[in-house]
Amino acid sequence: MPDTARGKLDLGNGVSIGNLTQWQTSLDPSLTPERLGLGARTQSDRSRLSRWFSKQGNGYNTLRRRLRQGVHEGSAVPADIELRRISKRYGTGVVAADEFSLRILPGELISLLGPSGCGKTTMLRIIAGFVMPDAGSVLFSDADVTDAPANRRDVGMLFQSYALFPHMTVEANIAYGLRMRGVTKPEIRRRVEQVLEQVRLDGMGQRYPRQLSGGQQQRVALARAIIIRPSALLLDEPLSNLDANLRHEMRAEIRQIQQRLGITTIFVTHDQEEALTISDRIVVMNRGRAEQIGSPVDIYRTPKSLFVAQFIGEANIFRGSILGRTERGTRSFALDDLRLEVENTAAPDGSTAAILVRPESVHVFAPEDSRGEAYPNRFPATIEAAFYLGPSVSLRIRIARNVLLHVTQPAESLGSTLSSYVPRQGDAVMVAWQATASRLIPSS
Amino acid sequence: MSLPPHEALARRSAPPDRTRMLLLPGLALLFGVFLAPLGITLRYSFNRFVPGGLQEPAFVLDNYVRFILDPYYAAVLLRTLAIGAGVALVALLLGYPLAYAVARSRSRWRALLIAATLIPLMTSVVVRSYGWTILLSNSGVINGALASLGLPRVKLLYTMTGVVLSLTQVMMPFLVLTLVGVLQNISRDLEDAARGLGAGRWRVFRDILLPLSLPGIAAGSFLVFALTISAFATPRLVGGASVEVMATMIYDQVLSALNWPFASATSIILLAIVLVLTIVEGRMLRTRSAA
Repeated sequence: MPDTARGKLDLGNGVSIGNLTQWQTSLDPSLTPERLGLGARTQSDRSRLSRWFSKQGNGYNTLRRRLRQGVHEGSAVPADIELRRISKRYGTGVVAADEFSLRILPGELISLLGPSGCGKTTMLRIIAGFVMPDAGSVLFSDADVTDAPANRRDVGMLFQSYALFPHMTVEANIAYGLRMRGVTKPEIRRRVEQVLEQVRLDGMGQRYPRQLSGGQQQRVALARAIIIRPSALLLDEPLSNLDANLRHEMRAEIRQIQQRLGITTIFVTHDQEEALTISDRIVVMNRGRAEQIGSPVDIYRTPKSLFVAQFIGEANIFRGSILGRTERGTRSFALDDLRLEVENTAAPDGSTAAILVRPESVHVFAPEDSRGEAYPNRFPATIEAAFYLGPSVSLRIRIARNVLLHVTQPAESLGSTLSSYVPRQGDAVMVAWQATASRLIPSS
Repeated sequence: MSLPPHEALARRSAPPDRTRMLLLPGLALLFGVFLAPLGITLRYSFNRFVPGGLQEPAFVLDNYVRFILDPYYAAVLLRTLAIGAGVALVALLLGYPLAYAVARSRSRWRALLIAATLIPLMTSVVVRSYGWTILLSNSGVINGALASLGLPRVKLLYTMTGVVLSLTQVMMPFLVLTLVGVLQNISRDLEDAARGLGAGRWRVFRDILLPLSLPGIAAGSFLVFALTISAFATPRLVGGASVEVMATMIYDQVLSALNWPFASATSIILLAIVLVLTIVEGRMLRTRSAA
């Protein structure tokens, strides 16, 4: 059939794209016969089609997906994914999801971040269809897929173990998803070649996974996931088996490919640095619930709970009570015998609260340095321990009998503020920070 | 005198090797009760049989020629091989899902399934085979059940079907245990990956599980086949005189016909078949894993 040469699609059961035109334009008006490059169709085709539809059950979605993959060259239609009050409890009593709700926007990269056992991997597996939730629903672009099996969901998944098929070549691994979708052989060959180039593995198609390095295996897994042009890409701790340098490289590569293809992506990790660098938004999870959802900057700068403050980055957390208002519009805060100035809050006088001071927002000066006077919070202190990390110095500084402050200073700035000063244990210094650098954490 | 450093090191790191002595008892037992009798059997198989229950030393191929030329013995051999193949096949079909369930289950279920698989092994084969005669006989449990449903009785005791049925139950644990080992090493992620890429359950089995568990299937079925064609108790008790196999025939030749040379030759033929199959199977697995 010459007229099917461009967007040739075989749907099985003797139905091919050539006789689909009218049906599918009625379903999706943007798919005109001209765009498909197809000719007319006949009455008998129509009856064959309806038989095919009744056999498929979820026919419309299957059709739309197959058309999309055959017709929309290059890019997938990114799905928005909605999780509605998902709950999942395992037999052992572990709560993996507790009324968890989230809406993921098309083309967005969102990280599920949390300690092991917080339910992030379970949530990913629920989205993929490997785990059935006890309650709640999963929606892909407003279509309820809660009960759809994994093989009907059209998602690409990257496993921590890569999960490459050891008995298949790189090419066969990558082609597997297309084979399952009935894509023709020449088309498969063309797209495999294209995707191999994309992940910089050209010429490796005939190798077996065991003949590749960890980073290369990772790329094969990524190629296998994106070649089906999934409506969503799910990544389950994909970088944890790589060494540090390769991890940073792959992280950038995954982000780059994800943005180029515009795939809605869900990234599961326990590594907060990874989540901060790669994500559009982060969901910090704890005990099957979302503790906080926000941009990396939001999550880092304004944590909404103690858990988030402690989990993301290094944190000094002090408990004390809120006192009166200052003339600068900030609040006073009693921490043992110390008086601190903290950001403004509506909380009444005398209420107890916790504050967060990030190690890098504290400045260290020599005791007599006048620059310290610009800061409302300044205390004479003693260095208890100093660790030189190359680009920065990590200090443990005692500012009161019961108050130990973790401070990180760029190694360079220390040199300039304290001339050629190298901090040593036992040195007397002045620590200072702004009121706004002491963030109040809502108590939950 | 001083040695170059590496030689001094080599000398020091080689301890007096007395641990090899520990191999001796095992080797002695292996040789004493297996290889030596086997050698004697091989020697007997070339002797000449003297009717009346004696053998005279000779170096003739009479016994082998007799086995090959007489169609009766060919029939026994074929029957034995058919039972072996049948049992291996049925045990594989029944055992694979069981092995998969054991390999993929966790905690309590797993222990329970393994126990269910192993308990039959802890009962004597003779006891189990007698049990089967009770189940299979014309007035037995199975036929009783059929009759009460108004169905015709089926002759099972002293038939091939009965022998295959009971031998399958005896042999299945070996197959299941072999398969569990192999299936456990196939990561569940591989199945999930295939599912996620659009494969239905059947495709996952065909494309992923089956090819990756092939070594286990081959090893397990071969083990069952080898054990089945040399089985004696079950064919004798369940098959009786009407289902004669190699092992029961050898037994009768030794104890009833008193024809030790012929019994020896038959034993050697059976052994040779197992040996050849072992080599072929080993080759097949090696070329597969090399590919």
